[in-house]
Amino acid sequence: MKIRITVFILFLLTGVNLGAQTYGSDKYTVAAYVDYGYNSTWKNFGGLDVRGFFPLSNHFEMMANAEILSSGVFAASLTARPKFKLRVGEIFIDASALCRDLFKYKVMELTLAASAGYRMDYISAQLGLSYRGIFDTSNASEGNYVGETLLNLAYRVAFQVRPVKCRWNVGGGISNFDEYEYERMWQPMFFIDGHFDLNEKLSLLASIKFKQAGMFHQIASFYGIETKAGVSYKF
Amino acid sequence: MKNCFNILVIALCIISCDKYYFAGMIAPSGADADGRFGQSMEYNAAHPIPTIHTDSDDYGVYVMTDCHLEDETQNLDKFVNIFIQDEGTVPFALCLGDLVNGEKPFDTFISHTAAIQESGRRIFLTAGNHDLYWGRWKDFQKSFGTSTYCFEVITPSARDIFICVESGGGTLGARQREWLEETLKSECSDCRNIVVFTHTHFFMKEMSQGHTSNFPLEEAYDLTDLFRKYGVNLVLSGHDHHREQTIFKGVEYIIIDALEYGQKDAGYAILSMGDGIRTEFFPIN
Repeated sequence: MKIRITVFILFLLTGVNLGAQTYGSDKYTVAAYVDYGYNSTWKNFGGLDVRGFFPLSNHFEMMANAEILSSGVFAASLTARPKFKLRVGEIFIDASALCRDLFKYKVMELTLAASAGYRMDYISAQLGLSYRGIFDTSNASEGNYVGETLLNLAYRVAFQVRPVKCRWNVGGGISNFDEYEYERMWQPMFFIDGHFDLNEKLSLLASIKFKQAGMFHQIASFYGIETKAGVSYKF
Repeated sequence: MKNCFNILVIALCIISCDKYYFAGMIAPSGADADGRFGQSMEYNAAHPIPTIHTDSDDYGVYVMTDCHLEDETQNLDKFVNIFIQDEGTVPFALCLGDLVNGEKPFDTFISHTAAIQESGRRIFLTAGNHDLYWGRWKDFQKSFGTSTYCFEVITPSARDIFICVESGGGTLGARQREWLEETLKSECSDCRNIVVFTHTHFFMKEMSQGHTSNFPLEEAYDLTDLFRKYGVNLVLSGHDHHREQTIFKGVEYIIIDALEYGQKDAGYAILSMGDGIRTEFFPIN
């Protein structure tokens, strides 16, 4: 047990994520996380994150996610994913919708994204486009909506150090989106994640996301970090 | 494949050596936003900006950005000539950053804008990302002193506030953000117009320049709500090189065309300050 706790603490320091764990899984899975983060805008913040993974058939799965943060953010996202097995790994297409209500700032954000990807045991890559509509909820007299470009790239490249079905795994990568945020294309986030299976049904999860401001074309500096620790249950 | 890799490496080297500071775009280098802000505040304490008085309630403000000086200074020279020959009430101009390209010294910019000071007018400026590459902040500060400040314009019956924030690093940083709110709270309650000017733009409505990065989304939402809360009229920025006008939450956001020589739509803007702000755009070519 001590070893498990030690490994879990190590994972808290290095990371884990439901997304990587679901590759090749045919079991409905739910996960819950607690969040802690810091960034120059929000300072310290915490939150709760609940996720569901639903492999509806061999060729189609869905993911539903919801998160609330003490910084005044509620976000929910839904992803539909047709997938096609290859001799090694599989290709997939993600169609995602993210609604993020930043009620502290009286702003609601609706993002639609489509991407194609490939994943196998050790690596995964995804590339697509996202479109963001920004809605003013402050009822200002003028300017209640801004639509951002349709050409905003969404990308994610990730690796795992072991095959996905191993009892524990650690990985990392770079991406400009996750379940609750689609950043502009020049604002990547770095992440480390992993999981540890307590038994066939229960797993411990953790992840760390790191964001720099001014990446690409400006002067990079630390902006923020977000950590998650959670548990998942496979039905 | 090997050729592609070689081309990529060579391209990165060329880009890094000439116009772009590739290493600084990836990893932190030099003073961060909080550090630069602290140094600007020290300068401001020793060199307070005097209040500008006009004898008319209506006056004009020239605005230019992204002149990216290398060897060609024609566009900047034209702008300076037009500005100093304007016989109206135009007490000062604003420059929204990216004064130079590569590792060019700021001396060229200073010498080519000297006529503004000699005419009794002023130019207020802030640092853009190109002014911070290769650890240039030290040079910028030595040349211009500060990149974060505010000043007021007193007319016979009104008071306008201009607030400059430095965003060349794609963020204001925590300390500058606090200063901005404190300034809006303490200085702007009885103002006719509040103008904020900075380098980085807030929205990415189109891909006109393609590679311009912005504030992190959390910061963009925080700042745009701050501007709404304190009744800012106009937020000016550059960085994208292409004009864009957006109204969000009752606040007008304008990206000014670059003044850079060789830019197809190079130009500048004139703000007509009165009971409200009217913006006109002018080509430089």
